[in-house]
Amino acid sequence: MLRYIVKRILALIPVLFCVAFLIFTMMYFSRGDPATMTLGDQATEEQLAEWRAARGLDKPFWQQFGSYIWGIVSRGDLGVSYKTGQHVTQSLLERFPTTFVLAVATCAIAIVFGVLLGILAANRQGTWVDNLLRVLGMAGVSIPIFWLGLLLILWMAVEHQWFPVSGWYGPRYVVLPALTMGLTFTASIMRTTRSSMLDCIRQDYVTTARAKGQRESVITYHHVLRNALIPIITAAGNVFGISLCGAVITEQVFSIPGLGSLMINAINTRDYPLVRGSVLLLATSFAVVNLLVDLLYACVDPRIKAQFVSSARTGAKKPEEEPADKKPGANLQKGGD
Amino acid sequence: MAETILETKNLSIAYVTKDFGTCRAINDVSFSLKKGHTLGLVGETGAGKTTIAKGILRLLSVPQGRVTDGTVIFEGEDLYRKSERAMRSIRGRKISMIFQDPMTSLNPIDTVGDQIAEVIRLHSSISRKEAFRRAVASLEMVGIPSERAGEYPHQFSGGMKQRVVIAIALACSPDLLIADEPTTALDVTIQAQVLDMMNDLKQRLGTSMILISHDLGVVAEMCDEVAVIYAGEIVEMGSARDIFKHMAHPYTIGMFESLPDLNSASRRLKLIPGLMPDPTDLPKGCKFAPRCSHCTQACTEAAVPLTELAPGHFCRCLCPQQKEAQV
Amino acid sequence: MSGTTKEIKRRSMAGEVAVRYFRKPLAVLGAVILAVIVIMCLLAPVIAPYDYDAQDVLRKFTEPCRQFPCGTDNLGRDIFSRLLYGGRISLMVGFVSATVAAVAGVVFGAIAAFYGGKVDNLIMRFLDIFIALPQMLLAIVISTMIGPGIQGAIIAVTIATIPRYAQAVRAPILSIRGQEFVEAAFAIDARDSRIILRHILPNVLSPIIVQVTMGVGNAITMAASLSFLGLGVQPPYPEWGQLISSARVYILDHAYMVTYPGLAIAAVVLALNLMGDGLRDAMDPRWKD
Repeated sequence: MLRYIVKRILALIPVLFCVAFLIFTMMYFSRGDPATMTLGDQATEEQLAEWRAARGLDKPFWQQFGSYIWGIVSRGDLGVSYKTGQHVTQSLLERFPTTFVLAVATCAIAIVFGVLLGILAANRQGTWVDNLLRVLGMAGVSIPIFWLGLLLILWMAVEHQWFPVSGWYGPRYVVLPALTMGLTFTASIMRTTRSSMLDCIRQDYVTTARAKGQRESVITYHHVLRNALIPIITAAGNVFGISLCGAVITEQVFSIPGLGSLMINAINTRDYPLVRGSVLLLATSFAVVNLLVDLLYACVDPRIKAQFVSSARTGAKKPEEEPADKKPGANLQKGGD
Repeated sequence: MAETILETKNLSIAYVTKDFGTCRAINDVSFSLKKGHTLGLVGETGAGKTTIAKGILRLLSVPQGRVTDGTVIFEGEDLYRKSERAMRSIRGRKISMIFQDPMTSLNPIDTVGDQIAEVIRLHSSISRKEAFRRAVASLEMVGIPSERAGEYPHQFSGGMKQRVVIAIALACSPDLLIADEPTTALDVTIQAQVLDMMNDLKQRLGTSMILISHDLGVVAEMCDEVAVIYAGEIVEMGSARDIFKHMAHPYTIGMFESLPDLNSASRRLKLIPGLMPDPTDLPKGCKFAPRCSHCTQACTEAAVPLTELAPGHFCRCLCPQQKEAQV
Repeated sequence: MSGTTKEIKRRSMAGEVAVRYFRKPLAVLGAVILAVIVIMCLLAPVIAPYDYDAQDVLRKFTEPCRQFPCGTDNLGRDIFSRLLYGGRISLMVGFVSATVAAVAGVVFGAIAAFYGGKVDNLIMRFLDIFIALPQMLLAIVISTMIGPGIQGAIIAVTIATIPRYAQAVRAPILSIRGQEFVEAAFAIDARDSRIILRHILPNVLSPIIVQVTMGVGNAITMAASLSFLGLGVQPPYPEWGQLISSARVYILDHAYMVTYPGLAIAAVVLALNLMGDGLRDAMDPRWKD
């Protein structure tokens, strides 16, 4: 199993390299001149040229890319922000915990409520409870996150003043943003849980359990839910990955000083090093979350564990078909973040 | 004279659905099973055999399946008068059931040892360790080495999975075992092994059994009494000898005649033309009438009752054929 | 034998699906909502009481009333009319992006799944790089590269969503490909493209259709999000996300400026999701319960 993990981690490196290349290329070809953005309109041509030369922006593409990669590999140096002059690594480290906390809070809400409501809907399938939950679930997935955020601000912060409107100065500031993302993700996890549970409820081993004289509650949790977990874990991992990856929009709505807003500002000012650094960090986080999700599969389902172990041994490609089949909910991408 | 352990009285079960109407799966089924005996329920796919089995244990899928008439008496008690809680204590302990497809009957994420231990712990208040020990003993009883108790179902072959299922069913020494096509999903050599094992266990533990099958060979080997089911009704019932040697109902006869015979030099298989009637739209009179070559006007007019042709041999036919078989 | 078999009514597959679809009230509701909104937006030049950029400073910040069903904004423009015109943009971006992405994604996924082996590996590894980033992130970066505007939004959303379609289509194709009737087609030496077109695609059509229907909703939301961030459609074009973005500063005193555009987005996406769900159920009755 350890071999499998190591294999997966090593496989990440080429992917991240390509991501770095992709982002580098995209920023290279985007319009807008970082020099003008940083120095302002009043700067002279000379000053601009000098600025660019100091940062190696006049060198050919491959050289720029090469020195960037070399910097990372040899010194772990992600560069220096054009705007603030701060090391990118430092800026990222400052902002990351904020986003992380937000992501955890969001996930807690989404997973707890989503799974419980999904189980409820599956158990009461066909009744008014189920239908109501399905409609609410659909509505939840359809509402744009930024709009929901604004509505929550209006309702809870402005009208009732239960929570602050924006900013990030303490636990109370986490509530509204986490609720915003949490509610939308609750809907998607609920839908996944429900459909996965329904798939499993129909299985023969459930009838076997009943024929043993087992209680319904134990059947629901021990037999059905545990087998239904794979798509649910996928959805949960998806949620965590997405909320970790910047929650760009939510941070904008609530003026939260997190990774997402850092990245957006960097993009707007063409602060290339910062953009590259934050995108790389986000991609890495996303990949790590995916890896953890896959490992979690192995804990839950012994068949998958067997697959992983054997594929690590034989060097065969990780069989993607089976998890893909078990991820009915994963492709219902939320349009927001 | 052995006492009766199970009796169904006029049992009728229907599945009510919105889209397809009411499917009358079982109509007026009455039979009794003596202690220590094996009753075979024979019929083709869709005749209602599994529904009868599930009906006995009250395992019908709840919103759609419901008992519209009749009841089930087990050891003198009306099972349909019991609370769900009482039924749960009966399931697995006094009456056990084996299902058809071993590949899907076991929970894929529990070890086989745990799955057997589960039924043991449900019906006795012993420790986890002790239950697991007994589970391992059950495994050995069905011929699976004890070292494999910690393995998962996907690590076993079909035949061994079915043995695990049997181990689960027999772990609490039930009085009645209902086996729904236990060997259908297995290949012939394994089939023989599993049947032998079941017979052996049955004799050792004194279990009564209801064996559901569409395979006449299996039924011949295992059963004391046989009931032939067609379109949700019993069309012929009696001792195994009655059915196999003195078959009377045209359907039973047709069934036996359609068995390919290596010894005869026929060119085409003899079949019963037509299909079983749609359970949402059953004919008024004899359900087999549309396909019967001996059908008369009277057969289609009213429902045909069971008549006793000989002591213990019943037939639901207005003109039963007396056919002596060379089986 | 008479009396033993019923007459089997023959219906085309599409007809069968349609019948099952229209039996479900929620699915019908979704279709109705979408139809109403689409028609209203298409008829914007006809039914909109005002031009989308007709300013009237005297009437600014009017609450919703008879004359202005959704109120007016900070420049006195009628929000209802802006919603109608903006809907044309939002809907168009959504439909175009989703369709193009679906086609491209299906082509990629089908080729990868069909040929398997190295081709599969190559294509999927390439797409993996894009999948390594969440959709929204990718869209933001692409949008930056291309620049703001309607076209930029379309391209950004399209490219960001292609990989998911490819992935989604690959699994069913792989499973179909393994089935025997495909082997049979190979055995009679049919041309590859023929096999793909005539045998494989019709069977994977149903999941694709469902994906695309929901994908349109996804695309509309992504485009709106891009505009909200200032990256997509720019003022004065009244794309719905853009409307919310500009209205944000006034939210404390004039909340209606934010509610209506958001409601419009939610309604369309909800309708599309209901339709997608309904289609999925209609095309595969097993999924029903």
